[in-house]
Amino acid sequence: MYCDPYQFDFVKTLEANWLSVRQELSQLRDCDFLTYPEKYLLDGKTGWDIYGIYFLGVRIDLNCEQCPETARLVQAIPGIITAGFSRLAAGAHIVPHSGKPVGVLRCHMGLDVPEKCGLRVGSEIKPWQAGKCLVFDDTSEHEAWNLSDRHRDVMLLDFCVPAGTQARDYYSTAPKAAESLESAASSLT
Amino acid sequence: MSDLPEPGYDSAIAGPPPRIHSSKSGFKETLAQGWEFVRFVWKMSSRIRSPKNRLRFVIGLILWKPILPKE
Repeated sequence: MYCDPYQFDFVKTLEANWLSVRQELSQLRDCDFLTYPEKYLLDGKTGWDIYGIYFLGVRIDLNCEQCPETARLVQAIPGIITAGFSRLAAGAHIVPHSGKPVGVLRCHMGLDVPEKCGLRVGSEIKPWQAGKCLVFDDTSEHEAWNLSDRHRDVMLLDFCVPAGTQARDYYSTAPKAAESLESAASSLT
Repeated sequence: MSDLPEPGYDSAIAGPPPRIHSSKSGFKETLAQGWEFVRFVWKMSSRIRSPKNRLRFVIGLILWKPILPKE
């Protein structure tokens, strides 16, 4: 499920600073990226590279020094677990898969997004947009593709949902609609 | 990598492309996947200065992400 990204305060800050992030990304060389090891997630087993800023709560020191402004923005995000750049090569397709339930949500901020790219989460398909965030529950089945002739870059973040809440509390559509209908019905009775 | 679709294919409307390659992987591929994982851990951890954080990273990765896929 997708979530309304603006429920999270850090999203506005990230979007306001997206050009600085893209500037730092543009200074990286191809060899600075690492091939993502879970190749079975890719149709054709190739085409997904990443550049880690934070990984599983651990700061990737040398990369933070290479991208200081991005690192500063990431460090300010409450509950940050993993952050970095995710590069999907031209023609690459990450096949449907689901993450493990660990109480985190995933945010993608578009940085360099060609046409013919998309992200399906559950039954909903959205394209990335430069400087805009998408937030979704990684445990929902999702897949991503880049059918253009150049790579697609996004900033990828995994963050813990605030204590006492669950990822599903932030879903943007059905649960909230159902909740408001329920409260409207109870106010009538 | 997937073959590029015909010109004019609009991914936002048409949805994801069909899967082209088989998802089945043999023993050799499974082994190669494990080796890739080790190389990834090595390269990423070499970008971490503190040995303690490097250890945290490796243990975290092992606990969170199994080396071999479940499928």
